[in-house]
Amino acid sequence: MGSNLLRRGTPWLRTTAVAAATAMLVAACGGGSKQNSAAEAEDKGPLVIASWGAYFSAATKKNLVEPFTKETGIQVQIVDAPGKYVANLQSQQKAGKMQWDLLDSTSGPDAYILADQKLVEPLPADLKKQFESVLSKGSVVDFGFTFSNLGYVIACRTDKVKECPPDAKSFFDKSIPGRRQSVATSPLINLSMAEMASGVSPKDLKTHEINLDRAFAKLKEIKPEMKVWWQSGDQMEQAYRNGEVEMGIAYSGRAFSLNDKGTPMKVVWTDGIYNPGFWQVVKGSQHTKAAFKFLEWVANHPEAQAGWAKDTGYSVPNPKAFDYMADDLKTKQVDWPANREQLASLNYEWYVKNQAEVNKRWQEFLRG
Amino acid sequence: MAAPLVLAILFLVIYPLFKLVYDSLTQGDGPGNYVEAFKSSAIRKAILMTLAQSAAVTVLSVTLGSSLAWTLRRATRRSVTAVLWAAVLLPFWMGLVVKNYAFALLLAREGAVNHFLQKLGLIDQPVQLLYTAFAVVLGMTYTMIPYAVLAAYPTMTMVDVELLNAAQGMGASKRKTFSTVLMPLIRPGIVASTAIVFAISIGFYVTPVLLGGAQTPFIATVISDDIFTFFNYPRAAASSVILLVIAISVLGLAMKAVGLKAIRGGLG
Repeated sequence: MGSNLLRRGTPWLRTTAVAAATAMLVAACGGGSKQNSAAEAEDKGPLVIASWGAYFSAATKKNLVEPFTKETGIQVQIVDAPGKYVANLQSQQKAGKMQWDLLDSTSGPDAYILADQKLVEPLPADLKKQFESVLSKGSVVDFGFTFSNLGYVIACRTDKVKECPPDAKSFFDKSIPGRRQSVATSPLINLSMAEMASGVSPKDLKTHEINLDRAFAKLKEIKPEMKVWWQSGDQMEQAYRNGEVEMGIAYSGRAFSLNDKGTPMKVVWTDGIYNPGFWQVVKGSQHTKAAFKFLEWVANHPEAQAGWAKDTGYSVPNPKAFDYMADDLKTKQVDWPANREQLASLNYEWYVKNQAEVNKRWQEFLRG
Repeated sequence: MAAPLVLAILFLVIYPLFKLVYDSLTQGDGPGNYVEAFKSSAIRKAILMTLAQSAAVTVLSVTLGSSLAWTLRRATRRSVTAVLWAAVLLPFWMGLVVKNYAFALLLAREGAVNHFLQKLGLIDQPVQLLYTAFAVVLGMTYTMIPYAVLAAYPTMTMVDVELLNAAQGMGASKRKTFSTVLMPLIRPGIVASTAIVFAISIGFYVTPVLLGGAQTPFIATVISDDIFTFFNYPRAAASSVILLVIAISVLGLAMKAVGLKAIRGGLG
């Protein structure tokens, strides 16, 4: 019976194999000629963007990708790889073929790791200059510009706590009662918070070299009060909603949206941490030109950015985008000047240099 | 005509496993990856947690699962067997995330279980149930019971019920019948079910993360940390091999005890 099936299957298999081989040949030739003419003709993609999935990818598709394709004719495909950009790009590099062209909102530490490992393209000088002229101060770096910016802030359920800790120092103070939570996946956020609790000024954090012994000692002190170490924004929201915790370190946007959905929340901007995401172009992608064209389009369309911010709750780098936002929305954005000035920036360069030790000690602290 | 199958297994199973072991010994610090893994208190704790909680899950699932399997064997009314099979198979077909989310809601501080216990006056303050080892064992047991049932059931169907009647007819007590007649007959099924449930349990990832949180890591949690958060592939490979060796040892021991046939029967 088995052999029968196989025999019957053979001609079909052979046809498919021939067809596949032909297709591959055609594709190879096509690819070759495209590359040859890339210098003269325009790069028409198609582009592949890695994004965060669900409503996030949907917002990118609706507000950025669709109008871009309509205007330029460049096709764009979105793949979902939430939080897994570095691991994926490393394995794509190992396999010798980069499958993605663009990264939508790479998280801060990962963005610097990718730049350090030369997995992303630096911005061409003229483009960088142009971005600096339209985007807010500090949002353009050598390897891209910020997007999907959010704050890690102290947030409390106002119906559960008498007093929400007004700063990092009180959040780490055990004598202030309250079941707490914090983020499990980012050692840098936790260590930076602990350093602010030990008296490091939020203004200095960007260049401050974290004192690991002191920071971990501070974290150990508060660990018994940390009832949840969240792995995802959904889990964090759920822990507030079902009363598992009363206060914690949360994404600012999610804390506000919890409040809008009926869980009374207070957000403390003081000692919060500004956590940018970054648009990046993958090094060795087949459509670098079109990819940069996409970045240029995004940077110069504040209205599209505002629409994106409205759909996701995350902040965007073009200051003109605020002109297209309702007051209620813009005052909740981390890039809104009054908020931005209260937020600390992280020392990513230090983290990239010391990540092996930091990560190891973090894992021992969290899991051990 | 098994050749294509052998090829498929070679490429899709044997080669990746070989590569995993090879990488764990040659990348990073080479064999030092294993030293590194065992030196880490996070991994040591994860191994211990994994083994202890999986053992608890196994005892519970196999006890409940084989009782269910036996009940299924003895049930004669069509409606009863239908309900029992539905009870076994529905959780089996339900998505893992859905099951875990349901448990997360039930066990939450302001969830149904705490409310109920407070209503009964058994507790004054809500107790922490979610993000504990208890929640993990409960959630995993719920997931593993169908496996336990399906692994034990084939052996149960082969038991001649008349033997039990004969034993009791000749004056054996219920307990004696169970321990000296039924138990030896169904032992292969129980062992198979134990081995399968344990081997699957130690590889769990989603349930320990969603119901146990950071404090009750499984090996898979730490492996995922190493791959996706810390990009330390060599150590992840070493931890994976450790997990694999534990699973294979358990299955090997079980096979030695009852033979391959019983285990295969259990796996369907």
